[in-house]
Amino acid sequence: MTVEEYNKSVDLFADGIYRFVLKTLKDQDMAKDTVQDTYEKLWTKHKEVSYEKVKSYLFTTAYHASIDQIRREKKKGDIEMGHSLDISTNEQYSDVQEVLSKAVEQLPEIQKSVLLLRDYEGYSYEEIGEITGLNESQVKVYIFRARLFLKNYLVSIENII
Amino acid sequence: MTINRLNYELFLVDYLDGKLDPFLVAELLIFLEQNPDIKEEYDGIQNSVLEKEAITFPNKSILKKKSFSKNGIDDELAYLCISSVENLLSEEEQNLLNKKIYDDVSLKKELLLFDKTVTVADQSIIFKSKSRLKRTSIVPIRQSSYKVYVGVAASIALLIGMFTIGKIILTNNSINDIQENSFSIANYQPIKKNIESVDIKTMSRKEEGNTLKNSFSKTVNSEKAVAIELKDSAKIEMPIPEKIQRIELSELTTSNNWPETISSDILSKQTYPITLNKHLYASNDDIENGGHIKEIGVFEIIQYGVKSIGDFFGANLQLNAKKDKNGKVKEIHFESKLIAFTAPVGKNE
Repeated sequence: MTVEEYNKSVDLFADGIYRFVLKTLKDQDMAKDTVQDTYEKLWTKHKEVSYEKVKSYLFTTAYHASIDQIRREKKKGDIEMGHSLDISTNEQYSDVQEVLSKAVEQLPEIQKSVLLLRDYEGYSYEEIGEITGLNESQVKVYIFRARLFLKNYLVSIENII
Repeated sequence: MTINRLNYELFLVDYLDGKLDPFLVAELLIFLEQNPDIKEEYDGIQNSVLEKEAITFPNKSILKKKSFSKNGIDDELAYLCISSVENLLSEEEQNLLNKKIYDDVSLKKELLLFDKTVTVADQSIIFKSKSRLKRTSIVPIRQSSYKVYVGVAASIALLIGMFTIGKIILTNNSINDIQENSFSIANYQPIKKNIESVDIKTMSRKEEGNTLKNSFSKTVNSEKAVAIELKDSAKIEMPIPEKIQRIELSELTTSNNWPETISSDILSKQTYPITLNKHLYASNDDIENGGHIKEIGVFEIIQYGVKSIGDFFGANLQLNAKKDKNGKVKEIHFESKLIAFTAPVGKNE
């Protein structure tokens, strides 16, 4: 990959990676740092990574960096994880996407990651598998379970409202 | 127990149900023979026993539960709905889903709910510091070629710089206008510094690095220096940023008679000389540190030439230098949107 291609990858993918990492980590500063680290790693290997594979490389690196970050934070107890259907009735929602956004935050990390890669980036199951190190069937299962959880969340919100 | 007219019903019901003890059955039958009215009643009851009819439930299959589990989903409808969202439905599954929705319209709402689980990225969230991630090209250039390229570029920049500065002087034809225009070399936003007091006893032409407290010092190595008097106020306006300072003076006069010393009397009138001949601008750091006023040398003219070229093409070209204590350029750094390089300056480098 040339320097021009590297810079083009910044223009094309930095926003997407930032959104993905931000949703995963829920912390702007950590997300920015992760994006920078991701591109730093790409730069050190830019001669070995072909431009065709750069998006996958970036998301793979960002995903693993996010998971590492979450593990570190989990040890500190700063980030709480959970899968219980936690619905706050005090929240004011303006649209479905806002509700979904809340629901996505409650998904287990792995389900959240595969769902975001699927919906935000339109990756195939196979590509998501390559990024996350899962096989295609596992990816499918996580996505199906995530959707079921989101649907139940929507139903619960509907019932509350 | 003997069967009689008072208790025969107990035995008769058990007999009809087939539960009567065989020993008592014979006794009961004898009793019925002895009591014809009760036998008649028994015959009526016997005829009223219902027999099983061959009636079956027509659609047992819909009541049955299937053992279903696909892609981690145990509910078939949920599986079909999610598969629909994921565009994974086979033709058979699509038909099954359609049939289910046709049979029960309320299931359509279920499908719509699953449709809503597709999250959409918020495009307003962007990574703002993309420029910090970008890299500039590194082009390997042979040293001999590099010297030629840099030499040619420097010559062009030098010519343009000299031409532009000369044009300013010739066009405006007065030192006051030079003040106005030449300091636009820096072309930066100015700041104002008010010098409230100048605490100095003497200042000589030969001194180097002589200090003016809270102000600036000077280096005089020109035969002809320009003395500037700040009469009404000692306000100095300087362009800032990084290195360059703009000095706006209220009045400029040229003088061939540089005073050997400056008495405190002069200072008390808020009047003191500033060399301008070679000293068009000064480094902010230098002034703050009480150091030297920078001279406009070849590098500064080249620097100005580079900037002029950048302005002409609408590009942000920057040429900076690291200097040693004596003001000798040790390293130059050029930066533009497309290319940046740092190069040492010296005969053997």
